[in-house]
Formats: sequence, structure tokens, C-alpha cells
Amino acid sequence: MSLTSVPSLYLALLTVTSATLLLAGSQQRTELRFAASEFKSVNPPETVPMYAAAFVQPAGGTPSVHAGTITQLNDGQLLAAWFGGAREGAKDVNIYCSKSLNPSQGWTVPTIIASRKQTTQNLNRYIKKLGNPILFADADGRVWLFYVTVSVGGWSGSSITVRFSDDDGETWSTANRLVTSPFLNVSTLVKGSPVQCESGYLLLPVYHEFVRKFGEVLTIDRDGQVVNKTRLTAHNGAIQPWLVPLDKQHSKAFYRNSGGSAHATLSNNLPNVFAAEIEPVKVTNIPNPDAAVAVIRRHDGGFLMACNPTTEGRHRLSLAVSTDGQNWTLIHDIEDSAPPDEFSYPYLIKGDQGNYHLIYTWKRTKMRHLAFNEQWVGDQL
Amino acid sequence: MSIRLWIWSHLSFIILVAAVLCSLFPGRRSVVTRMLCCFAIVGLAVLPIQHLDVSGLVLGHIGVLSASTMVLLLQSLLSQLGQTKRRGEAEDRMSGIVWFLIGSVIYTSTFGIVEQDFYALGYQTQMSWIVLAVSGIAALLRHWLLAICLVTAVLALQWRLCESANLWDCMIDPWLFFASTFQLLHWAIRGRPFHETTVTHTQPIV
Repeated sequence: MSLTSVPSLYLALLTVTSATLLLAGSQQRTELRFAASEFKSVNPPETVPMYAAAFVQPAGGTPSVHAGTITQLNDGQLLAAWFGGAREGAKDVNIYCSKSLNPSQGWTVPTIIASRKQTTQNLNRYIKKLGNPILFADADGRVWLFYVTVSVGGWSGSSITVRFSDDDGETWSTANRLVTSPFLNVSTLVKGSPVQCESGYLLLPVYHEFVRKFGEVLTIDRDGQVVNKTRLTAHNGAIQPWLVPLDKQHSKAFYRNSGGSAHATLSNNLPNVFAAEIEPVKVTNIPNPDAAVAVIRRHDGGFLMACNPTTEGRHRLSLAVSTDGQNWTLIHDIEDSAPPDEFSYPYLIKGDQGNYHLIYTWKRTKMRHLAFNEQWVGDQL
Repeated sequence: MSIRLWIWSHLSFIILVAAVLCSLFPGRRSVVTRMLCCFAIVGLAVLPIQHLDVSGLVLGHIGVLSASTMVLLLQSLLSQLGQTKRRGEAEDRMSGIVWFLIGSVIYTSTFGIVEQDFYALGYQTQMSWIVLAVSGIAALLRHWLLAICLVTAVLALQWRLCESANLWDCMIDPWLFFASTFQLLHWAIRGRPFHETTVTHTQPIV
């Protein structure tokens, strides 16, 4: 290539790039808002209090399980997933899922929906371990599965992989990696439930763990591509965010407290997360032993939280309610034991008919599912 | 993995290996030798190993290369093969400063060392126009390679050739940042760019 042809090459590239940019710019940009189903209160049907519990994973499953997730499909069935294997981070860990029409009828035999080998082949990238699945059935009936994969190092070297199913979890697409970080795409993990936007986009709460720890949220388009990322807080230790929409733009985020001296659950107000309008993190009155929390909006506009309300250990799992998201009242102990028992990683959703569904890790050996309704919550107050 | 990303990741590996081999074994080669080497590298890239191929195994550990790194490696490769002129000292220095500054801002921001998240700006279309403007300034200053790197990064983003939808991922990767940092440090200590003091094989080896 002669020296005189270099300017020509540059000019040619510049012309093509400018034309492509102009064309892309003429396409209308999507204005994002939360879908009404995410924040509108629906009065629950007048029924009797309901509270049912069942183990999702039958006896004889994998020795160790963790990080359960649950979603309700359009046909009303519940779909749960978790990771299981010899131990957390072991090479034999797979993502399992199970279905249930309702808790009284039990859960189907778990099937593998993501494995290390399949993910390695799909991504054409060495995968050392996987974990933290998240299931979400969107308004169009597509079921999304997000999970973390690690190629090098520990969990802080994670990146997020996505698969989806258009037949209620019977078959799944090939896995794709979400690119969320400029440094070798490491250190983006997922724990909280995605939130649906009006345009069909998803907001996926994620967190960063390398050097400093903080919560973020990814905007994901219908093709599963990350189109934006917003830092929810710069507060070191505020991880595993749980996003709760309050209206079309306004939301609140709740965090596991993984640093600092205040062993309390953290939260902050997000006037408009889409425009990165974020308020500073505040400490709530609920203790937090460096453990995940799950929060959902109640029918009356208040909040319901599943948490480990201790300063050390995850041997107690409780439900708490609040009207403002800041001051909480414990209403019920789901589990109350002594260390080293562990009841952790709650994942809470509101299903149709107004029922709440909670799934959590039970002594690291089983996944447990609870279903209860607003009347039952009201009775605990 | 889409076919587009498959091509990008394998092309990254092929250019990387070819550039490294040319640096390690400089000298003029016959067309036949070059073709054989090229086939060997392509074969290595797709060689199956542990449920994936060699390029996937390597890139899984070092990450996918940015468009800028690909352009620089390609220029280095063509230069080694005698197809283009070597980069000038001033151009090297300017490029090094630009990559170092971009990397410093993006990586410190990503790790949360600074409160603002500059990486998120890479999702905004306006950033592409700004980078094109910077490439124009670089071109006016006759830093052609830097200008081509910048404009190629924007093009790779717009054509979705990269895995990421963020401009910074197409523009810089940690290896380009580390190389620039090392080169600038060496230049600051010795007073001239790194390759001027280490590359001694200027005469073709027949």
C-alpha cells in the first residue's frame, strides 16, 4: 500500500461510516418506560388466606444447589431454575429447571437447560464454571434465561450469558454472551429479576465485583443485545440490586450490603433510571449479613421483602413489609434455625391471581418454593 | 454465536498469530511459504480442542480484539511483509497517548474508581460522531493510522461486526492499552519509542 493511498483509504472509510451513521440516526429511537404491568396495582380477588410450601428439587438430586429463580408462564404454570452440582463452582454444575402447575401438584423432574459443555460450544469460548440463573417470561411469551459464566478466575470474573425459549422452556436458543464491560468483559453478575419496558425491552439488574462492588442495570433489546448500561450507585458494596418500578419512570432499588460497617440492607430512589437520574444509597432498618434480598410491590403500593434479617449468618429467612421502602417491619419468619444452616438467595415474584411466589436455597441441598397471597400477608401484620 | 462474530473472532486470532510470527521470524519469504503459513494459521484457528476450537480457547482467555488492535496488527503485519511503510515516531507517540488516555478513563471508570461511568457513553450515537471528528483532526495532522483506527472502530460498531454494541469495545481493548502504556513508559525513560530500540532486523533475511 503506497503512502498516497492511505488518505484515500481513510476518506473512503470516513464516507462509508458517516453514511451508515446518518442512516442509523434517521431511525426513530425508542423512548423507554416501564410497562404498566410492572407497577399498576391490581386488587387481589377476595379469597381466604393461602400459604403453601414445597421442595422443588426432589430427593436424589445434585448434592449442592443454589440461586433459585422462578417465573410464571403465560399458561399459568410456574417455571423454576437453579444451579446444581457437586458444589458451587464445580465443573459439573449445570442449570436445572422444573415446572409446576401449582404447588399442590408438585414439580416435574428437573432437566438441564444449560451446561458448561453446551455453553462452551455455543460461545466458542472456554467456560470454567457457571451459576446464578435468572428466568423471566416477558409479555410476548418469550422465556429468557440469563446466567453467569466464568472463563478465568473466580466469580468476579463472570460475564452474563443469555438463552431464550419461545415454547415455555421446552427448547432453548443457542447461548449468546452479553458484552457489558470493556475490560475483557469480566465482572458483571446477575441476581435480580428483569423488569419489562413498554417497548419490549428488558431492564436487567446486574452488579460489578472487580476492584469495587456496585449495582448496575442493563437495557436489553428484543434480540438479547445490550443497548445501554446505567450505574445504579457508586456505593462500594451495594450489589445484587432488585429493581421495583413505582410508575412509568420512577423506581426504587434494593441491595445486598457487601461492604462497609453498616450491616443493613441498602436502597435508593431512582426518579428516572432511563435518564440516569439516581439518588444516593440509604441504609434501611433491616439488617443484612452480606446476603441477597428480594423485593416486590404489594397490591396497596407498599413493599414486601424476603431477606435474612441478621447481622451474621443466613440461618433466618423472613418476610418484611414497608410503606416507603425505607422503614421495614418483620412480619413472618419463613425459616429460623442456627448456623451453619443456610436459607438464602430469595427470589420473589407476583404471579397472576395476585399470588406471591418465593423460591430460596434450603440448606444448600434443596430449592424450596412458597406460594402465599395478599390475604395471608395481611393476616401477619 | 452468529456467523459475523465467528468471522470476527477467528480473523482476530489469525491476524494476531500472523503478526506475532512475522515479528518473531522476520525476513522475506516466498509467496508459497506465505501461503502455507497462512493455511497453517487458519487450520490452527479452527482446530477442535475441548468442545471448541483453538482460537476460541485463546480468545476465551485474552478476550476478543478491538477493531483498532486489528488494524494496528494488520498494519504491523503488512509492514513486516514489506507491503507498507513503518509508522513514524511522531505517529506512534500520538497514537500511544490517545490509546493510553482512552484506556485510563474507561477502565478506571468501569472499575468504579471514579464515580462517573464513561463506558456507558459508548452506547450513545453522539460518541460516534465525536470520534469521527477526532479522526478528522488526526487525519489533518497526518496521523493516518490513528485516523483509520478510529474510523474503523465506528464502522465496526455500526455494522455490528464486534460482539459489543458499545463504541469503546470496538475502539480499545486491554492489550492495546497495556502496549501503549508500556511504549509510553519506555519512551519517557529512553526518550524514543520502544520498537526503535528493540527491532534490529531491518535488512531482509533471505
